Amino acid sequence: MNWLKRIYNRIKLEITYRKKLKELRKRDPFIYK
Amino acid sequence: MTIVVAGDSFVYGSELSDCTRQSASKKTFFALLANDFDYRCIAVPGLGNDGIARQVVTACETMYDVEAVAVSWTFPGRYEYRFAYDTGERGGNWHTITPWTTIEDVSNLVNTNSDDLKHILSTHSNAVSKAQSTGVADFAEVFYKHVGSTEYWELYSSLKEIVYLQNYLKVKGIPYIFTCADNSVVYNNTVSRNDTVINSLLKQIDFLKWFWFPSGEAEWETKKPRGFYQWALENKYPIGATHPLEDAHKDAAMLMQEKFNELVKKNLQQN
Repeated sequence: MNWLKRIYNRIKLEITYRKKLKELRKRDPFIYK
Repeated sequence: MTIVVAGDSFVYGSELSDCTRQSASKKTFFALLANDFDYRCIAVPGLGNDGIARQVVTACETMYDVEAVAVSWTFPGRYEYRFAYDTGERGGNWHTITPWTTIEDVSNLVNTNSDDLKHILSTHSNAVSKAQSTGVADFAEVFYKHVGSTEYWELYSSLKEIVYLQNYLKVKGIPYIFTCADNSVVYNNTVSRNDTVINSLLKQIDFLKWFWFPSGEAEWETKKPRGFYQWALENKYPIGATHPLEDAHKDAAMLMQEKFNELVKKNLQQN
């Protein structure tokens, strides 16, 4: 069952990361110029 | 006698009419305030708070005539590292990663009315391509995924840099004024949670040496004291692709004048 838990944690991390990065980009919209 | 002004693209004057890649604008709020004196702008667009602190310390250690310092802190989600290799950017091994380091296509995200839109998009795309070829983009993705995107880490890192620079300037006896682009460096959920270490860092900051833009009054505005960018955006000042333009800087300088006189000008005249 460890492999299942590992996959679950990876997916959870990926979703949290994408959501958080979206928030950070909204607050700091300054791309490289 | 020189005033060193430091910060990110707002202090460099990105998108202001006289700003070029080689020289900073003379129309930013700090430039307008420091105009009566010799001043050196060491701001770098895209810099993080750790980079800002490092630039100021470097300037104070290498220039013999620094009499005062003016700093505008930036968004806490940017991080500067000294990489094990040359990143191909202006800083060589030193490079700041931002939440944009891994995003190549930003064509739908910038103001399409901007004349230099194509230039902005190609500059961003080149920077990201370079980050991908050197490995910086891979590092940024792993870092943000595991550490950098958490509010605690961004706040903890930024507050340490602010305390570090403040204490350095106090030890050296250099008068200074701090302000910021965005108030999230001080007002956020982590601060509300009363964390021991964060509280300790906040208590060490001398907020009498800070200038804050006034809190918003409308329902949709920021209720706490604001940073320059929040204040300019919520007061609907003209914006370029992403940066507030000359009008915002002019009015910001007028608002800051009294605090600047108290913390910087008065001290210079006494010397």
